[in-house]
Amino acid sequence: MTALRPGSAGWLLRHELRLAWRKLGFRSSRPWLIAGASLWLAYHLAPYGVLSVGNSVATAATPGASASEHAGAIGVMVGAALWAMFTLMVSHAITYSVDALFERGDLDLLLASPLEPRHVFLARGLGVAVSSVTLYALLLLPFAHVGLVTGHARLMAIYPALAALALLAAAGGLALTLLLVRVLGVRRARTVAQLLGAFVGAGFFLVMQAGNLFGDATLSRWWQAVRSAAESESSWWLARIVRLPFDAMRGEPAALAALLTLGLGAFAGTVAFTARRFHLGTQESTAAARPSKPRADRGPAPRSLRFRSGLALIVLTKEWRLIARDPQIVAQTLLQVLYLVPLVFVWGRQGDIGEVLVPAIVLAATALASGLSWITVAAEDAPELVAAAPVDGGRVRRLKLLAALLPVWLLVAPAGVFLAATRPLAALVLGGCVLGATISAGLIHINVSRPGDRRQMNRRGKGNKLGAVLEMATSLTWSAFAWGLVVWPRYAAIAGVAALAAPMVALRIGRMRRREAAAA
Amino acid sequence: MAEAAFGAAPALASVPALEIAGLYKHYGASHAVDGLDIVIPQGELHALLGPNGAGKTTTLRIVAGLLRADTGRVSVLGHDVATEPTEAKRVLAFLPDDALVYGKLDAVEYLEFVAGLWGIDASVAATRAEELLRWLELWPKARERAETYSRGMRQKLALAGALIHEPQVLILDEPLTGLDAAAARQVKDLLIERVRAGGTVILTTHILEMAERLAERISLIRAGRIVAQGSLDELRAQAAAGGGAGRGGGSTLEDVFLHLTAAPPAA
Repeated sequence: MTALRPGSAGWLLRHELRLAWRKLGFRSSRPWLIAGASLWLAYHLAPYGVLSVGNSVATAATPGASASEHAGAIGVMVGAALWAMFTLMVSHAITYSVDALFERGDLDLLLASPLEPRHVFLARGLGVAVSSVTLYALLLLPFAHVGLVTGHARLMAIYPALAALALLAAAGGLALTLLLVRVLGVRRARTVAQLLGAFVGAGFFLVMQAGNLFGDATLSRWWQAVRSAAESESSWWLARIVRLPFDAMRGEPAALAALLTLGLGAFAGTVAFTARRFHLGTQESTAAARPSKPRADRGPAPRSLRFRSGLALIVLTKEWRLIARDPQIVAQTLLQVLYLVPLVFVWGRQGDIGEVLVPAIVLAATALASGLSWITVAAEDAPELVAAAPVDGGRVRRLKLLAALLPVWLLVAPAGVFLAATRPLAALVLGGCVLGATISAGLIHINVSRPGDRRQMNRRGKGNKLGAVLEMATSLTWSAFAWGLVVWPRYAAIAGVAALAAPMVALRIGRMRRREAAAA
Repeated sequence: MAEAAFGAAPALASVPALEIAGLYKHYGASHAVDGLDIVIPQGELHALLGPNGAGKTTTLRIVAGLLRADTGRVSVLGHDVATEPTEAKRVLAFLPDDALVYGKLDAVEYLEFVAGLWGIDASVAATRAEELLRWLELWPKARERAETYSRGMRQKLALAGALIHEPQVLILDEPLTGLDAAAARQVKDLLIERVRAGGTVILTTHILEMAERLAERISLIRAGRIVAQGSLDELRAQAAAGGGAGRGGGSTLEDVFLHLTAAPPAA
């Protein structure tokens, strides 16, 4: 099928992209590909609408035509949005690089082979670039195609401009990865990448909702400020830089040339630097190999040991220690809560805060409880040790669940107290629904979840579709129930019945599985 | 009266440490354990020796209560693992070849957890933990997390976890993998020590030298059943009688092993 010579950079890149594609977990069967392609073709209608109807955008997109008074400001705004997109690409590039350089573990194999090391790192770097740009290419390339049809042929510059941005993002991602891994270690570097992505994403969402948040008057004042800044002499350079990706995409030769030079230069430099770092062995390949410092407050070894006793205390202590010592898990679970913050802002302006706060907290608490109870129940590091112990397995599972749910309840408690002072009914609803939802989420993991590795927390749904569906159903139905109780108490019963469905299904499946296990 | 205070009375010496009768376990079409019978008396160091995939690990996992058998009866010191699992587990320690430790816990915390699982009195366990950690030379690193340990150190920590509840029956699956010569020697001495004190040790190994040196009795497993059992001398005799042992009568265990496991199981 291929003319790529084994061992060449192109051959390596194909290997790289195949791994990236499989990691996404997509099925490459024909019906799926056809469905995806048709969806993407249908999406072309959106840029068509923007380019043919949105007159000022179209004028702004045509270089030289500064007829529209808004053109300068639009350029700055779109440019800023593209830089935000670029930041998301960098955050993805870091995640991908951590995996490709440190976790996948095939680098030693490749470097031990008689391949040219430069090619190995070139292919890795291109893999980073391609994987971080794919989503945005799908979103933006239709503008180029539609532009070709509607007479804005210069929009074809989106192709090279995106490529330049991708190379720049890959360079930034690779360099930041080397730095972060060196300073923080492999897993924390990944967390930083996720946090970066989440903050940019949440910020982006808030800016999009600026109208809802601040009102139209404030917004038009801002618009004026951006316009005058875009046109003023003093901030000309800043405006140029902010506009750069936008100008490059609408085919302005100087901007495109600048972006391409920047991207190619940064990419080539970073790839060479990465290769040298690995060649010289100055980059540690695993952070785990670095021994953790014995903590001074405890000393190297105590004079005499004091143990706790009692199964409940022992299990709770152990689970909490394991969770607390995994900053990755804490960060990932809290991230899910972070995503809810803009939602609360947006809805909160339009209506009564209680209406929003109660279901939002129920949603967040369910997400947290779900993640933590998966960690304690399904992601046990030594399941056989626990199974071989002379204790009741059911009791241990219930204790593990308690270890997961107690912190969530403690986190929610202040909100309950706050509400109780002003709206006792809402506080009551909050308490009841949080209890119900978190316990339901826990029951799902006790009954349905498959054992897994705690590092896979965010991918726990992949091996277990049923568990993922039940998890989602629980969080949605319980927050709907909470919302119903606050807003339309008369109809809330419907949501209440739905809310009980998921845990009931989980219990039933659990009973079935235990019966099967007993029969086997 | 003193016995009642300890809950379970010490088993009578006549009760076998491990008794397996008619054990079957299949995965799909393959029969991992295919009618296995064995009786191991107390105070014996017994080796289950067999080629890869003979059913050694499956058998031990059934004994430890981690797997359920299709049919057959397994009892540990007279406690049936199917009907009295808690009693059977209380006197048993199972040490799989892959050490069951938590990377994020240090050695002391790990032993505290294991002792708690077996319901050992906290002060007794603390004293014993210190002894074990010192003896296994883990004490200087006792407050560092297990993720920083080498494979051998993790094995030793898992071994300390198995010993902290002073099991009457100790089961080890491939106990010496990953240990350096000094540590392997320590473990060997420990196993002999425990047997001398009246305990029972059952181990699987494919290291013939280990079985030959340590074990008083050896069971050869092939295709899910015991094909030969006895002391090394008895096995030698059996191989010789079994028909012109391949190369000159077969004097080492290796010859016996190859001979007995290569032949189709008798009857």
